[in-house]
Amino acid sequence: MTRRRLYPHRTADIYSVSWHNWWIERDGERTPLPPVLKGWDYDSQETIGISVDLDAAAVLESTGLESIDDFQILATADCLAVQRRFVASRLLCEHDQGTTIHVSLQLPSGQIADALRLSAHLVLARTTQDQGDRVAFLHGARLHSSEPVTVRLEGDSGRFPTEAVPFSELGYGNAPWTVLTFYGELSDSFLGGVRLFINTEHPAGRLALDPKGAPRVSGLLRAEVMRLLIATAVDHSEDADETSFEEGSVGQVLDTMCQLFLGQRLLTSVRLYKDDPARFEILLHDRLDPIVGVIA
Amino acid sequence: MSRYVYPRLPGPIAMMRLEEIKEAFSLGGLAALETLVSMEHPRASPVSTGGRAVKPDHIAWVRAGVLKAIDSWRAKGSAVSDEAAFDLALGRAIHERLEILPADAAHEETWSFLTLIVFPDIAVLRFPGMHIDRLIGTQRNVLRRPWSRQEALGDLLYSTDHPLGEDELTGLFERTALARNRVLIRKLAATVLQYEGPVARSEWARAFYKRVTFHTGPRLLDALSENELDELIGGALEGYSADRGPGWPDSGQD
Repeated sequence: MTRRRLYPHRTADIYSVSWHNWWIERDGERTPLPPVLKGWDYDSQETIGISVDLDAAAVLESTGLESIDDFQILATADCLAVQRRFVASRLLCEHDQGTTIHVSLQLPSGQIADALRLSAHLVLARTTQDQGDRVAFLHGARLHSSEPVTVRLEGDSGRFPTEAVPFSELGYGNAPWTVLTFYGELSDSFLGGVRLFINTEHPAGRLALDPKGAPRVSGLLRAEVMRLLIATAVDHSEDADETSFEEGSVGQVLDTMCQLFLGQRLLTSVRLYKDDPARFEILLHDRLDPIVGVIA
Repeated sequence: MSRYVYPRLPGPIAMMRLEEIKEAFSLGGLAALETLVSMEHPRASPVSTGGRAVKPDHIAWVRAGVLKAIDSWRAKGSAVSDEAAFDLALGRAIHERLEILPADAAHEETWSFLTLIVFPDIAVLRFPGMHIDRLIGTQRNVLRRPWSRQEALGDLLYSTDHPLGEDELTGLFERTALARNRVLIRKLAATVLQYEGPVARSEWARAFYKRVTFHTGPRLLDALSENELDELIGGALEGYSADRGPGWPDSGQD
């Protein structure tokens, strides 16, 4: 569902701006940007971009602004891993009206890692006199934004951070798997803060690692991972605001997992785990059916 | 200048090494940790996605430079009660000598290698409690955090004789969306360094950051030029909150 923000100024009508899919340009050819960027490494310099069509009349009508020359398109590539945002801009006063606008963004070699969160924005191009009637007048005022998309750079898209290891080396006994957490806050990176370790010496661990055998234990594994993740989130949840988790943060990923697997938000799940563990277990079994693979 | 990629220590190996470090420290203190120092590890290797793989002799040169920079704390055997100065010296030395590719520095395993294999003694000198997120390569890692601050703020960190304190730096970097705008974060840091008002600077900085953050909702500050950012910051400094008295940046909530 699209998240709408409320601003003190008027924004562009939602249908007045059509953001097209992001693209990548290699050897002079533009192709749709895939979710995982193939053939990328630390030496690569890439050019990506987004194209946009505006219904100029609708944009002006809804924003109250007088000229399409007052607008600017910004494309941003936010890299949480290196803590840096890359930005490209296109002023509409330099653009032929009625044609598709293309904004290219250069991604320098060696400066990005893991994943990029891409978004594009129609903003006011300069600060003007305040005209009243809630018409935007400050440079950078957000008027319309694309849905953010994530592109993975290093081939680990969407996978739970998992490592297969013999537990005898770690002194973890005969457990088939466990989850270790290293994060200090729910705002920390999920990929950097959580690891599932699977015991290669345990038959259930080996099943989980085998694509053919995994369905037999995947429900059990998923339920235990959820329980462990929620148990470790208890200490971090008191001041958490689940509306402000950034993409890729522990909070955002756990919240998404809770909604997907338990049908409720993270903080509700944490409270249930803490206050009524028996009901939490009932919910876990009801939603995930962890032992179905075992008895099948 | 071509920068380096460093060996990465896989998570399970890092966990084992951490236990080894704890045991050695309990038996022989910091001196015992120096015997664990190594420039390589059989289970650690650089990533194969580009960059120039560092050689052990360069790692030894990095270590020598860092030890020199923090020599006075090593001589005392502790960084406790002087953590901010220690972190500044550590961050400057390790940033200057590592010459690491930022993409490689974004990975936990890289910092786990540096901390647990190359600098276990320095890590424990700074964090004798050996909390896992200080020694494993998370964002709060003993080496990674000062390196990141140096990477973002550079020599601003040493531009006055009253450098940014831990609260001021934490407040700056914990607003991660703000901090990813490198021009803006440097300007915010410079503004805090220039503050000479009656309020404790760290408290003033907290209110100031909040005021600037308030603007990031309706405006995309990445669109602004350096001059416009200066104006925005100037605006955040204007006006005084009636309930707090002079010296405070307006909270932006009124």
